Amino acid sequence: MSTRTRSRRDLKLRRRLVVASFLLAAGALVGRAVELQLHESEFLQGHGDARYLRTDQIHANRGMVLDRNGEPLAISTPTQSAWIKPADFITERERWGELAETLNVSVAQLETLVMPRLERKFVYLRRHLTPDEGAAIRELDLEGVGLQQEYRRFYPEGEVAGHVLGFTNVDDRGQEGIELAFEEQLRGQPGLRRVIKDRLGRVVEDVERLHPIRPGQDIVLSIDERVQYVAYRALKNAVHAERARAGSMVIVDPHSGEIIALVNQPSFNPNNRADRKVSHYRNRAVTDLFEPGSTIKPFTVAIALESGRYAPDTAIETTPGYFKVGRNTVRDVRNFGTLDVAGVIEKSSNVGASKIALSLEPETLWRGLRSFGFGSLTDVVLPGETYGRLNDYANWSDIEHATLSFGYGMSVTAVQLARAYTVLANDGWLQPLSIVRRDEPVARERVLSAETARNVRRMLERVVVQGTAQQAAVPGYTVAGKTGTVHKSVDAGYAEHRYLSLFAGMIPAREPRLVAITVIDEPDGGEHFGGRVAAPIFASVMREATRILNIPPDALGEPAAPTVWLAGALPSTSSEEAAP
Amino acid sequence: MRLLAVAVLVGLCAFASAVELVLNRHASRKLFVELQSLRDTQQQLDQEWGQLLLEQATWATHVRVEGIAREQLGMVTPAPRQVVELR
Repeated sequence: MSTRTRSRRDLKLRRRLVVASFLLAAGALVGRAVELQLHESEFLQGHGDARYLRTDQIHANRGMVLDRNGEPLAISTPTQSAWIKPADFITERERWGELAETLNVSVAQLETLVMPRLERKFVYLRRHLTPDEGAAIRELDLEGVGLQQEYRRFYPEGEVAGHVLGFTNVDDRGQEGIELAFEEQLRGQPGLRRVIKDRLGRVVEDVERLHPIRPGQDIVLSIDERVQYVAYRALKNAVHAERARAGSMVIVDPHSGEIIALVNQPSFNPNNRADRKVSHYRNRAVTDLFEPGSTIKPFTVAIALESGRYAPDTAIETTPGYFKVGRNTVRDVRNFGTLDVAGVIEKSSNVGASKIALSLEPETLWRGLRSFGFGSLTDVVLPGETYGRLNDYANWSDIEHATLSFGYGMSVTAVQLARAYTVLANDGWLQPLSIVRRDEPVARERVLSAETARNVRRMLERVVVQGTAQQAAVPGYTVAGKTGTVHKSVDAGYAEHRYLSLFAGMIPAREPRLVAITVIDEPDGGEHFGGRVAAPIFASVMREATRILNIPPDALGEPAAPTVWLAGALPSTSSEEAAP
Repeated sequence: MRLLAVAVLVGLCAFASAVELVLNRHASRKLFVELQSLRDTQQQLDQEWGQLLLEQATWATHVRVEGIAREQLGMVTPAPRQVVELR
């Protein structure tokens, strides 16, 4: 009995002992847990995170540049760049020969790259490898040589749209043209995210987005790549045939103000970095100034018609073919006798234009020219656009007043001249030009009455039918236009045998769908008249452009009707129609 | 007695929820890995699309098409009098 009670007491004791030690152990665990949680949690969390939390950059693709029909003009694609870590790379010295062979360089060249940079941790070996080169380098598997994914810009059309598009540098940043002007939209913003990675570097969990990714936007240009190509080819052939220094052509849709084509010569291929000489990639049509010469006469006449002092058939005496202004003499090519206002344009009489201009107040002429946009930017967002020059009328001398009427003493860019002609083509409305596609009409300003614009267009039509621009004719269409042959100004006055050949035209003349400016700088092929050099380029481009853009012919076998002037040519009385 | 039963029940619930959490967490990681690989595929396809677009544009370059049309196929632009307009 006593043994039984003793053993029971024993058992009780042992049980208490076991429970107590369990409780103690549990208490110790809880205590430790509390300590870790409360006191050291920050330290531990930090260390834990450092072992598997990583910040990852997500590449934002650069946007594409498309033409108005969605054809790609600039695309970014991934390429690989090879880099080396010199300290590791040096250990593979005996295999440098293989690498040199892959990259098509000599071992000595590798040495000059590596030896001065031994301290560095990262040196580019070559950027933007071809896929074959990349594969070959991966195959070699050299110590200290790595590949890195980068992006490179490609321009499928090459030279054709080089000046419009511009190019990016090796880091994919825009340097010229659209690439520079729309850098912000095209580039996008790389995203940053914090992730958990496992032992093998795979992302297991997205913890948070530090910075949302914003891929680059696509830019849709107003350029029609097919017309662009036709213009490019015609201009290139002409500049070559005329042995000219340079040339530009701008084609604009007068209703929307969109630039349909913009080409320059000499050109460059934006895919080829070695090809980039400043003189080649300068976008002459927006940066280069020239005196517009006779291509200004339609505007002088338009201002005269708007003033109410002239009608298209007002007679102007140009005999004897020259005329003195102070100590200077304004000359015509020959004596044209008595002309009407339309005849001044058709024969391109400097004397007639000067007489008209001198009968107008300087302020009227100046305000008129300003209202066509001369001396101000066209708002086409291409880098390097220049203002042009139109001096204030307060400082004009008589000869300046006279020469302005035929385009000397002021300077313009090709895009500016194109915009001014869109006013004539678009029944008197001035609107900013655009290099990106316009899906909605923009604010426009009336600077000329519709009657005046139409009358000037009819005069310009006669220039092509029977005047100086007969080579601008396009079969099946009515064409209006004006030629210009400008003596280039040099330091001491005007150069005797250096010319600029110009043609400004629109098609169809009755309801213009396209306006084009052609500039050929210093033609040296025996011809220098705008009507012989620049007008044929217009004709050859428009023959194809009308077909491409489906512009219906408006003069099929129709005999040329005698010109009828619109009655409303004299100043319109309604105030909203009046030119400012 | 009643209190004990409630405590056990709550304990069981807590345990079940803990297990559930672990399972969900695992499932979420698995789904995330899948999402990740799909994103990789998407990027790959995007890049391939870009390359194909580039290739297509290169084949369709006007210089090339015109050269083939004129030289290999002997095509010419019709003269205006060869064109009949239908209205």
